[in-house]
Amino acid sequence: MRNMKIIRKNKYVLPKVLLVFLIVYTLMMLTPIFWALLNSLKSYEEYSIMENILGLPKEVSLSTLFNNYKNAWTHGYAQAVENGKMMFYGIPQQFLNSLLYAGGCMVTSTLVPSVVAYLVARYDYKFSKVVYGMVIVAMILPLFNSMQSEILLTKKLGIFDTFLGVWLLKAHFLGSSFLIFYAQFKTISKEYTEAARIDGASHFATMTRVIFPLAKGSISTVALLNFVAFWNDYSVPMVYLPSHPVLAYGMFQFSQRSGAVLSSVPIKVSYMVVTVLPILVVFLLSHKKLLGNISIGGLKG
Amino acid sequence: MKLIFNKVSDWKKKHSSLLFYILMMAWPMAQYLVFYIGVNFNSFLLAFQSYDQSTSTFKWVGLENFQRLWVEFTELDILKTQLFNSVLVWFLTIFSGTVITLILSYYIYKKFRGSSFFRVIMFLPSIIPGMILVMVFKIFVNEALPKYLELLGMNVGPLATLDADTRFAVAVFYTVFMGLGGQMLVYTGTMSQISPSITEAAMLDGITPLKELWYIVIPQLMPTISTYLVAGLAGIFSNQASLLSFYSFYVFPKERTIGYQIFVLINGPGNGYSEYGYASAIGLCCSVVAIVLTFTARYFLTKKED
Repeated sequence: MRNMKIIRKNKYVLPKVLLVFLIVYTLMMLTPIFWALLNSLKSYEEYSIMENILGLPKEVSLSTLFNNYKNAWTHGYAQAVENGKMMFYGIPQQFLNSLLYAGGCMVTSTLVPSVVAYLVARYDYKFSKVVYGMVIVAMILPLFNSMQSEILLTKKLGIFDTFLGVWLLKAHFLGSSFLIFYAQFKTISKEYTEAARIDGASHFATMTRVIFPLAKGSISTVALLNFVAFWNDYSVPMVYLPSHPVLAYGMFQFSQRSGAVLSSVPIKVSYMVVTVLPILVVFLLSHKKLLGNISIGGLKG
Repeated sequence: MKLIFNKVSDWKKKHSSLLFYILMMAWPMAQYLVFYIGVNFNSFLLAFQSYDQSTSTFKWVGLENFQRLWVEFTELDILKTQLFNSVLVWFLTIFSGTVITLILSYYIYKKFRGSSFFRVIMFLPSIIPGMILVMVFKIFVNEALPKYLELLGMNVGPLATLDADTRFAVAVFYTVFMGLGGQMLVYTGTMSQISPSITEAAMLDGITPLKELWYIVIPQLMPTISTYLVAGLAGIFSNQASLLSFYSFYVFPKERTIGYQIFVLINGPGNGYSEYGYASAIGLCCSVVAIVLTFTARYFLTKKED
């Protein structure tokens, strides 16, 4: 059977065409990244004066590498105006801000839709149908431009430019996370709930100790995807956390900055390597979870 | 007293699920009312207001913002071009994000050669910060690509991200290219739920991969595809096409999408609150157009599912 499958796989044109497409895609994706990594090993003189742009580094020395990374670390600060004063934040502070922003938002943006999806999927109240309808309507009802109103509201509530403010903004159940959790909770047999209830478990215990562990694959995948998305996001912190620059916003500022040192491509690339490392570590530690299976339902209310 | 306590206890037992339901729903509903309903309603009101610098308050201006919008739409070509840019970006990203990603997801789902490796590669743009990828892409396009082209004997023009003719195209190409793997996880996840008995029976009947994709996989995935198509259409006027990442706030008006234009009006340097009302008016008009488009698309897609 296995051999038959292999023969079938090799026989048809579609897989071959797709393989070629994917190889071209991979080359287009990886070539700039490898080119950039290679150039972080070159000195400013080698790259700019000797114009060794495409070739391998003439010599790889630790001092060149150290100088590039040292310059990247020094110039990787982010600027922000706080109480009318210009403040400068180094990479460690931006890292901490990123951790607070992405970590907090990951918790609220995963917890709230998972709880609401659980209630809607497993409690047959009429209101559950209304809530499901709200999610579908919010997804298909394109309301643009609520940002200015959100800024005004958070300022009024005194939560603008605070981590609590952005966590609360992200603590909603609208979006595809709800649909992923809903599809998951619908597939779990109701017998689990009934057995737990007969054993005397409360509704809260049934949810947290019986059903959520059964759905932990989906929950952890969504949580990790949310974390990565928030970690990489710079526009929301730029608008809602102006005096708490996160790493991604620091990258945005760095990319716009110019100057003698910063025009050096090897230093720019070294900065990229420094800032991309934390998220690569997260990916390496959790790639199985991140690339786990998630599915989503339709839009029929 | 004991009787009351017992009654309360009985009520609690009887209605414990309702009580739990209400308690758990309390925060999400409050958040929804304040940050979704309240915020969007306020945005609607803002469309009829303007910021008064002298009193530092918003004042009612009737249809003034809409009049300005009408003038800019009819007499100047800028808004029309931005509208066209938004539709172009939407079309290209929907095509790459749905059609191409779906076909590539099928390759990964069927575990054809190197599928595990390509799965990671396609997921890479979701892992590496967009800002870093933009920086790498920009430096590569400006510095390395012209050298490679020179080696091939091709004529090299000015830097692609600085040339007015190519600036927008570079950002759009990047957005489309990086968006290829965006929905791959969900598509492959949903494909893996297709009953093996269906695909095995089809294989025994000698089905080709193309026919399997067309007659088995796509129909089974129709609800998911519809969700993404409708959601994609709903976001037609919010897509910024990576313009902010590429060029910060310095993009010529004719190179902008509506999503980017609104973002700049609200957050652009020195704008303050002054453009909030006008941005709301643009948002409101775009919402009306997009609502019609979205509901029409949803009607046809759900009909097809039936």
